This record gives sequence, structure tokens and C-alpha cells, in this order.
Amino acid sequence: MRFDLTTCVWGPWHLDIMGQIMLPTLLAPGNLPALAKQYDVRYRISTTHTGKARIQALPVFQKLAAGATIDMVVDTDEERPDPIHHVNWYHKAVQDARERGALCAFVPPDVAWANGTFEHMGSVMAAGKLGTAMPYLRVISETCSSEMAVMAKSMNGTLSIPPGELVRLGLRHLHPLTAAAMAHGRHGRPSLEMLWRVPGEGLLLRHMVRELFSFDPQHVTLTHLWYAGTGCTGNDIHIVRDSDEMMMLSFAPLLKDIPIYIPDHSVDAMDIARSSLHPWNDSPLNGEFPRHHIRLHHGPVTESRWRRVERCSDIEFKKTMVMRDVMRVWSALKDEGCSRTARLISLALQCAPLARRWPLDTLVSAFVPLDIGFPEIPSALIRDTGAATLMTWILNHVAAGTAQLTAGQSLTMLGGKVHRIVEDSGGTFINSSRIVRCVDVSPHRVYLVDKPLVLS
Amino acid sequence: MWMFLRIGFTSWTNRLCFLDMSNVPSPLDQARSLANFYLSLTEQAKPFHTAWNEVRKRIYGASWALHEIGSYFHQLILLKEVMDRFVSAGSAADPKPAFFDQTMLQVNSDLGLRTRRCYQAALILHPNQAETLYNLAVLDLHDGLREQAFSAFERIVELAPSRHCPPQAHLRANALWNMALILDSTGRSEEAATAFSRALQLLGNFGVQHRIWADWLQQHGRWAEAIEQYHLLMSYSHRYAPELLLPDLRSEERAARDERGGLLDPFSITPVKQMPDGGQIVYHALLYFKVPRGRDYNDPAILATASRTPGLFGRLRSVLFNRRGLSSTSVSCAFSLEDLTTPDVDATPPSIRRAIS
Repeated sequence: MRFDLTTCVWGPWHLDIMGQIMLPTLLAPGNLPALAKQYDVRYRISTTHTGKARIQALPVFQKLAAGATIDMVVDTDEERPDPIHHVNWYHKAVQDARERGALCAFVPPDVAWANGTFEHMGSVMAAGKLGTAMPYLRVISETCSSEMAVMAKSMNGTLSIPPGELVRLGLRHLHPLTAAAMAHGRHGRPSLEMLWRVPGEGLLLRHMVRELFSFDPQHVTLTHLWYAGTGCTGNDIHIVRDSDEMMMLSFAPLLKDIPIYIPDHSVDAMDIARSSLHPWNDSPLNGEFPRHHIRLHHGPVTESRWRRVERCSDIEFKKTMVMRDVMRVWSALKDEGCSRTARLISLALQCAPLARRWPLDTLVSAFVPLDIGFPEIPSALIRDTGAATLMTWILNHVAAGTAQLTAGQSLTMLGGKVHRIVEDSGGTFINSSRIVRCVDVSPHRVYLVDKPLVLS
Repeated sequence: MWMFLRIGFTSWTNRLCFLDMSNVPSPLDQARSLANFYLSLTEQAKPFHTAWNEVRKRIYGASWALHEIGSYFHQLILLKEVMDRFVSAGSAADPKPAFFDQTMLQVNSDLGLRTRRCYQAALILHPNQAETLYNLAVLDLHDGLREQAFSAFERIVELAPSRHCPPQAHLRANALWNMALILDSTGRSEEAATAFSRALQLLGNFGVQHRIWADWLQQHGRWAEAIEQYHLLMSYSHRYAPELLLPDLRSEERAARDERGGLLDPFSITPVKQMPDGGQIVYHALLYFKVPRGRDYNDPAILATASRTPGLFGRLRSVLFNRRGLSSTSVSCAFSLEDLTTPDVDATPPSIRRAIS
């Protein structure tokens, strides 16, 4: 079976880290050499003319060539191509791998791999998974690269770092960008993930989505930012849940992305839900990734400690998932002439414990009044600072599961009200509200009705 | 003319006494000393139109260089607070973050003081530099100096941002927003409402912080308006914190850096180059000083004796001092490192020569 590894690199900073750290860790026994025992590996490197010369002059280049077929591609005469070039390159590399029937993995130049990462990844793919997604920690390049480069030199160019040790290095050189995604952090940033410390043992990570590390391009298509697109389900993707399996550090200068920090605001469920709906981040598997607890540990795991933190994270990520779904419904309603209900939903989501107390983890059927039959928002719904009235009103417009809209059926709403389905020549009615049409907000069903089912 | 320059020069060397840090306890005093030194150069150069323009440009560049350095320390304050919170959630068994123990990151010094004196010096050189004034006001707010911050934000609203200002900074809107927060925290609700409204006229969405406005409306019983703001908050929007945005500076306005690219603090004495003759070049007060071998370059008093100024007036240097044959063993200073490391040539423009003769 063929396997294409692919890197796109240029510029002294990236070339330095690639030569001093990434390649030495790739050459660890449990990485490229182990993968080469399982697969026919081709390593494709897209670079500039200068980059090619520098890579070929690296002391580790001969070792690299012994482990895989090296294919250096210089498809630009520019020494500093536009950054979009690397995005285009990786997508082109996927296309090439697809055409020759190879599996594919992305090998960024500015990272360090834990020993065993590629061996495990190869085994997972051989067992039939269509893709893998692995966690990583951002580290400060100014401090970490020098320490690791010294380690690599002392180990004759091959740097074998056990996963626990890599996590320890990650925590030691942790980048504030990662720390800013901490639950209850001092300052935050736009984020698709949240982290909790497990004192003395590591970090618990929860994320909405993750780029694929490896995948089968015959089946899986990727989104613009390399998330799993179409052609696979959650079961097809192996989401790494323990750093012992696969782990990576990603290098970044200390001031990287400094303008995006949000002073005096810690990342919360609402932020993550909103970010996950950005068109570049919204992938079909965004419902799958958040279900997993990801343990990044630097020593033995004390189960009770991790469970306790995981329970805290469950509360936050339940809210995130509910908020994400409610936002999707809200977005659909805005476009369907239900702006008043959309406004009530936004109020309930932000001022009422709607997400925290949402009673279900399954699909629902919602009955939403069109503006035409809901000309004014009752003041009782928005003036109640405890928001209990609003919560009840919303829950009395939602039923669990796929509603059977058959005449004579009764539907028990989540707020406790029971509504009867009636049919006559005028159409199908729930209570006395006529069902006008259905909107698909998969997996949920949203029925637009000509007036509210209840007033307050 | 020569006399005038000698007087100006003496005045400048006197002002270099600020280098004796034991006599300058406050950041503002330090800032004043450094800035006044620069302003004294302006006075010296007035008689020479070319030199005057040159020095004026230097002063303008220095104010931005100080802004850039201040911003760097300001950013470190934020990053340090991020990391402090991270550490507090861990335990002694966790690795201590290298963020705190690497001197190259400069996070263990008094960042607040270092930030403040840079901003203050920049503002003495260029009092209407809106971006610097904004950053200093944010720092004041951070340090609990609310009245001081409020006054500064009021001024910013009246000032035009510089041509360097990134479009996403929205300085006036953010100044009004901060004024509203201060007013609200002091119980001046009506004035806060006015300030919020003015801010929102300039910038319709304050990102995740927009929640503050929605909550404010709800708490004040303005239900219908509140619900509109919560509605707006459902989509993601980012408000950039202006203090984290670096202005788009030209090379002559950028702060000096060491060989590794690290910024040099003009309030410290930083060795930057060892000369073949054993002399040492240090960076201090936005200037480079060449200190002969055997003299202690860490001693501010030694730097204050600078008796030659190659490059200080750019092309004037050889005319003013070298030809006078001052001792080659004295301390020299210049605006750029190159002026001290390249062989001295008399490149004085004819117009300046005429003026001097």
C-alpha cells in the first residue's frame, strides 16, 4: 500500500525548525522508519530553489532518503511565495495521492513528533479507518526550538521523544495562544477548543473539530482548512484521545497572532459554538469531535483526577453543543420570516440557562411561529429577568424526536404542555396553529406555524 | 555659530545626567529626561535647515520607536497574565513554563513601569500621538487609575489617529467605549449611556464584549433594545484591542533591535557590539554609544561624558567635532549603529558647510 507524506516549506524560520527538529523527530524509530515497514512511503516536499538546496544539504537528508522515496518539488521561482501557496500545495498533493491510489498524511515543517506517532497512525489506517485526527500543543519557538535542537544534536540527528516527554516539553514551553484557550482563563482568543489543567498530570482538551492528520483521499474529501468534508462518518475517523497514541508540538513565535487576543474575556461555550459555525470551520463532523475527552498527559494517569475534570468539561461542552444547534436553528429562522422567535431564542441562549438545562441530547421537532402570526413579542417573555417564563415558552414549542404529525396524535412538549394534531381542509394543525412548512436543520425538524402554540 | 553649538552641546550633556537612575525614581521622570534630551537636539539644529528637518524626523521616528517598545512590553503584560493564570491552575509537579525563566522574553522585569515610561516619553516627544495616548490610557485603566484614563480617552476622541493607525483599531470608538465603562462603574449611568451610544455610532459591534452593552440595556429596563443586541451577538464578531495592534511603521520609525531581532529598551544600557579595538558599543536612550576599552560602559556617568557625536546630526558630525580633533579615547554617540562602525568620511553637504563656516 502506498503512503504519501507531504510537506510545504520555505523561508529560513520554517527551514530551520524543519531541519533541526521536525525531521530528526520524524526519523525517530517509531515514526518514519516504522511507517516505511508498513507502507511504500513517498515523501513529497514542496519548496523553493533555496529551500531545496538547504534541505538536501541537511545532515539528516541521507537518513530521510533511506526511509522513503524523496520527491522534491519546486513549482515556483519565487523565494517568498504568497502564503496561500501552501494551502494550494497541500490540496494539490491530495489530488496527486488520490490519482496514484495512495493514502496521505500532512507533515508540517514547524512541528515535533512524539515517537510512535506514525507507527500508530499507520496501524489505524491499515485497520480500515479513513482518517486520523491528532491533538497538538503550541509551544514558544524562541525557547523550545533551541532546547530541542541541542537534544537533536546530541542524539546524532535522530530525535526520539516518548509521548509523555513531549507533553512535558509542551507544558514547559507552552505558548500563551494555547493557555488563552483555558477554561476560566485570564484573557482569551477566538477558539475551537478549550483546555482544563489536571494538576501534576497534564491537560484535558475538548475541541469542536480538528484538521485531519492522515486520510484516504479515495474516500474522504477535505474542507478548505483540511477538516473532514464528505465521504466519511464519525466512525470512519480515528480521533486520538490519548497523547500516548499520537502527539505533536507546533512551534510559533511568542508574539504570533497577538492582535487576536481578547483582553479580559475567557473562552466560553458561546465563543466556541459561534466559531464552529464560521463557514471555514463548519464541517460535517463538528458534532462528532466534541464528544471526546482528549488526555494530554506527561506521566501516569490517576483516573479519578481526570474523571473529575472531564465532568467539568462535560458541562461546558454540553452547553457548546446545544448552543451550536440552537444557533443553527436561529440562523434558519432569520431567513424564514421568524425574526421575533429568533430574537427570543437569542435572549434565551444568552440570558437564560437554556443551554445548561436543555434536557436532551437527541434530535427535536420545533414549532416556530411566523412573524405574520406573531406581530408582537409579549412583554412577559422579555421582562422576566429570571427568564423562567421565556424558557417555558420555548420548551412548550419543542418536542423530543421526530414528531408524528398524524391527526389525533398528541405531542408532549418539553415544557410539559400537551398539544393535539388536527387535520382539516385548511391543513394540519397543532393545537390551533396551522403548520405552514418544514425547514430542515439536520438532524432537527423545524415546523413553521402561523401563530404561537402558547402565548406565554 | 560654533559657540551656539557648544552651548547646546553642553546643555545636552547636562541632560544626559538622567542616566543616573538613582536620581530619577518615577517612570514619568525617566520619560521626561529621555524625551528632553531629544528635544534639546531640536534646539541645537534650528539654525541649519537641513539638520533641523533631519532632527525633526528623528524625533518623530523616536516617538514611534518608543511606542513600539512600549507596545511590546504592554503585550508581554497580557501574555504574562495569561500564563500566570495557567500556572495557578497547575501544581508544583508540573513543568514550570519557560515563558517565565528566559531572559530573552523579558517577562520578569517590571513590565508596567517599562511600558509606562516608553509611552510617556513618546508622548512628550509627540503629545498628540493618539495611538500612544490610547495605549497609555488602557494601561492606566489596567492599573486602576480610572480618572487619568478617562481624561486620556476624552482627548483621544478629539484627536485624529495617525496615518500609521491600522483601520481595525477604531480608536475613537474604543475610547468612547472605555469611557462608557468607566462612567458606568462609577454610577454615572446616563452619561455612560451617551458614551455607549456614541461608541456604537462609530463601531456597530464590539465583538464578544458587545455583551456588556446588551446586559446594560437589560439591567436598565430597555428590554426591546436589549433583545436587538443579544440578537446581534449570535453571530461571531471580533473586536480588535487597539493596544495589541502595532502601527504600520516605516523602517526609520521602528525600534532598535539586537542581532536576534529582540527589541532594545532605550531605558537600559545594552551592549550590542564589541569593536576590534576592544571598545564596546552600547544602546541607550535611543542612541548608540561607543565606549573605549577599559572604561565601564555600564556606568551612566561614563556615557554622559560623550564628547563626540559622529552621526548625531547625521552628516554634520565630522564638521562639528571630528575636525576639532577631540580625543579619540572619549565616548562617542550616534543615532545608528552604522555611524559608529563605519569608517568616518566627511560627507557634509555643501550647504551645511557654508552655514557652519
